[in-house]
Amino acid sequence: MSKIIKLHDMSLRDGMHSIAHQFTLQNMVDVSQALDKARVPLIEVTHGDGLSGDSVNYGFALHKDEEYLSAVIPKLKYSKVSVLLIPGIGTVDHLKMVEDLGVKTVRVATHCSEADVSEQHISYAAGRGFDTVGFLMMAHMLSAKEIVEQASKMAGYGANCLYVTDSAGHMLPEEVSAKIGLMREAFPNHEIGFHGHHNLGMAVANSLAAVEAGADRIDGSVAGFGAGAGNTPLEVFAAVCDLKGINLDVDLSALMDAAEDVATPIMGDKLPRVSRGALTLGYAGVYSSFLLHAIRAEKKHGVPAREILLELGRRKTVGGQEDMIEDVALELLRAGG
Amino acid sequence: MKIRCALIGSGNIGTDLLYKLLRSDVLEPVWMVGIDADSDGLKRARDLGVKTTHEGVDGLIKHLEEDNIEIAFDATSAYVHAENSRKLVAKGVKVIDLTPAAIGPFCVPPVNLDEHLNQGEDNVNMVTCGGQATIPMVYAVSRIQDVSYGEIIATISSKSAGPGTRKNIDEFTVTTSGAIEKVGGADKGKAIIILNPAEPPLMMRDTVHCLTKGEPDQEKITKSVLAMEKAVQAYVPGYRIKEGPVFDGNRVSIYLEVKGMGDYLPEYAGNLDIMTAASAKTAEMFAKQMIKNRT
Repeated sequence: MSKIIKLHDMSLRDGMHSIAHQFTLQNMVDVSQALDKARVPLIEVTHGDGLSGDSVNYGFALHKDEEYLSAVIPKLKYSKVSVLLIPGIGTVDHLKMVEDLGVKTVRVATHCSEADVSEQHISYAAGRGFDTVGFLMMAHMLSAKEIVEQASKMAGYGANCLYVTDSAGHMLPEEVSAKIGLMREAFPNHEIGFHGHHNLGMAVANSLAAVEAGADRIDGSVAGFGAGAGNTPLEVFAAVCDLKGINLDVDLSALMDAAEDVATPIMGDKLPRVSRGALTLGYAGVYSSFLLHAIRAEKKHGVPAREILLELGRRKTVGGQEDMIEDVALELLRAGG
Repeated sequence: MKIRCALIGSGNIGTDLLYKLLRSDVLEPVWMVGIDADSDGLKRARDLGVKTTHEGVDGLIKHLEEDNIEIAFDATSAYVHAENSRKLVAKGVKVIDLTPAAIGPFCVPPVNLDEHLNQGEDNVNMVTCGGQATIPMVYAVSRIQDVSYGEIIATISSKSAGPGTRKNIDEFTVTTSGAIEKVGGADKGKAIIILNPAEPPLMMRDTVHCLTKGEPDQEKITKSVLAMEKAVQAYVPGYRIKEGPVFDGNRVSIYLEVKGMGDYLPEYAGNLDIMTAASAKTAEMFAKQMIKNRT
């Protein structure tokens, strides 16, 4: 029996970006129940920008993180739940607020070159016995060697799993192989994970490359929910893995049903696709959750979203800088853009 | 006559502040305190003729009286500030706290410095760099119209964030959001900080979003915000409104940029500048009051 690759569902966290953080509690319960039935081992539940992401900058969710977690966790039989925390947005206090709700995994996310802002949160989570993940975002912006250096800091704070995160959906399979391969070599005793976005249509191929290079965990979401063109569509990835003889230990048919019968009707016309805007994100290497905000700025100020996103790429913006979108739109407007 | 002061902490903030104090008409930096004799900050201080110790605050305490130190700036960390402050205040030294410890009341000069002068506090806290850049603007809106929610996003270049800031990033968000409420006048405050590693380093930028109760009075708020920009520029010349105020329903958004004076770190590090300039300005006002009471 080959090693089991652990799937981590993003529908109810990264997928929150696709719907401007407006899932109802029932939506969350329905999707998580369908994932539970398909035996997906891990499901992430929080605001799209993690604990305490609720803000003017990122959008206010329909419910608080605590309410979503309390609705989802007690009903699960098989799946465990993770939360995301981005230092600078959420704090250790927010982690304390949810830790009694039955959360098993804490993922602490930083920009790929700024791992040292995660010390407080990773050491707290690891100290409390959580499955603790260090999540290096926008990993296309650093070399494989530099990613390993940053990941060592997170490992030093106590993370047991380290992620290469393609937040912009900009990577191609050979880059994924190189980065995951070097991580695998550098951290033989840690789990290694990959988080993809489908902005260049490469999420499934990239996730496969990650597994072949030694990854232990793969992120994705049913029906490809997620920022930009969405995350790796889990049902598609599961089918590909089955053909390749990669063991995920999930129920493929139940996963397909979860995507088709449960997830897709919730998203309706907001179902992510490789739209012009999403493709621009992948092409220019821009953080995926900027998409809906750029479209909103286009509507309010009349500057094309594509121009805004390209400019944000040129300025090397990082995750969380949604406040640059209106600022750049106004600047382009004045420049006659 | 000048009031003699000591700087505790020889990192980015303490060293930048030293240059500002050397230009002051009413303050004289006499001591600089560090914990590493080889730190760049202490070396520079020695070269500038300032007395130094690398034995922490205890290395300073024994010299307070003979050197007549009346004001001390603490730019160490929230964890050691309480102890530093206790020792200094016991010797009658007024403490300006640049850490996010916030033992004393928050001080944002254009909003509430006069209030603190009248009350003669022993210890005032300078909030955070992001707080100094944005809270004047939250106040500029709330003095015109009730603000139910104030949010700020501070983006600084990675190069300008020292190890202390990085290790204790939660203190930034917690202290700043508290001050958005207490000093800015918003019912609820939220603060976000982002580090951006782009090269060349980006200028410090800050976004302020206020949600007003009822439709915002655009004309009055714009006037108030522009007046506040001038008030901050009086001590931070590189402070400017880049865009806005933008009005969208009950949202008022202001996009700011802070260019530093390039005293210690280059101009992009406006975050250092606004913190040290606000602290120097606060200390100068206290010093003028001390001098006035004596003559």
